[in-house]
Amino acid sequence: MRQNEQLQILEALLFASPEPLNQTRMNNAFEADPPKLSDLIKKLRDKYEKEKHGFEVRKVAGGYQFATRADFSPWVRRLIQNPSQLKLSGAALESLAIVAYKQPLSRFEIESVRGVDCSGVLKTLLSRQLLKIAGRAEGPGRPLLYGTTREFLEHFGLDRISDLPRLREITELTATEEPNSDHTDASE
Amino acid sequence: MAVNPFQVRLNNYEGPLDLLLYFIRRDEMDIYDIPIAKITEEYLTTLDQARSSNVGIAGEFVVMAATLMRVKAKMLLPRPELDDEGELIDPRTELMLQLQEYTRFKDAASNLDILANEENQLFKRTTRELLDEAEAIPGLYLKTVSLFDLATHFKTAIENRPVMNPVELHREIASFDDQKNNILASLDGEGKLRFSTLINKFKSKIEMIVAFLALLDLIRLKEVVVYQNELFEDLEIHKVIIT
Repeated sequence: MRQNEQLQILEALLFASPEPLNQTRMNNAFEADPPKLSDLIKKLRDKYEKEKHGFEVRKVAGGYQFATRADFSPWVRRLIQNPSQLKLSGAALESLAIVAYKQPLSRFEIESVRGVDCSGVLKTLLSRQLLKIAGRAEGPGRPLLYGTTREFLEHFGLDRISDLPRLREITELTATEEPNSDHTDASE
Repeated sequence: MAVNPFQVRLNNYEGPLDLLLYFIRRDEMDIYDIPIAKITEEYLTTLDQARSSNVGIAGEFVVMAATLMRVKAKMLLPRPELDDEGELIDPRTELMLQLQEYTRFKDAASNLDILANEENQLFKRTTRELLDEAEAIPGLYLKTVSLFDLATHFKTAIENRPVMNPVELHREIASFDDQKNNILASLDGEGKLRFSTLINKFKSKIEMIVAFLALLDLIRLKEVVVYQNELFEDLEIHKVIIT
């Protein structure tokens, strides 16, 4: 199979894939001898870089997807006027943050950080598939443990959980009180 | 009654810790040396205001009020408590640690919010919209079901079971293999069966439980698959047709 043809197939797969394309999913599309996805992606990105496209291939949730380049967001936003993305509440964001950094953990552990009952918000996050049940704890009562999902990574544009901005250390809290000062761009 | 424009509205806060953190940041208090008397007063005033405007106060806020007053009382004790090594115990330590931990995650939450907003500026080529549409029109598309959904449905089925008056104790016979055959025999001409139909066939709890276990085993053996059209809706058992 010629290199050029492989790139075309990859483009077609990226275009059609309902979720970020990874090696396993791409293998399903090839009958035999599937090429290495990361190599092809590199070639495709080089090509796009040269040709100056309005969209790019980005890595998210362990796979690749087409996305418009941030430079062109103003135009696209005017085209698509209704914001489709669900806006998460403060309670939802807090609970997600705790789970993301400390997973897997039980509802009790989440509540002891937030200091409030979390059963309602956790139920919503489960049904939105931003969280999942990641098993049960060994301790008394064997409580359910919560963890983040692929949808969580996609929602926040992360490739892996380890791409989350570093959690501030307790000692840093007193040094600067500027919120989000160490926010790093995890999408890169 | 005139409304104080500077009144702190309780429902703007995620909880008692959030409210305390607001006071600390607003008045630039040192989190390592919280002026406990001042913050307790602020806190209680806010709660009183909420109470006088007939706002229901969540239990957590009341618990925190008690904690604050306990810490404040301990601070006033003439003889401070010492730990095993003879060091002074600051009664505020526990609260301080709790506030610090909460602050870290509150900041992490606002980082997440920023990430989500940035992500929302990009437009992805996915066919996810089709899936959203599937959710909008229930019954049109089938969705795969997790073990958890299955367990939830089992719970609903058990709870909806008519109440009976059990007096006699007798051994109920519900064999695992029989129930497996029973499920397979209950599939209709198209090889389908609704979960509720299956469960309603049984009168006793043990039969339902064995049937449920049998269903799990059939799924394991890949003899059937289970679909759900919509969240909380009935499950459909489909026979796997081997081609």
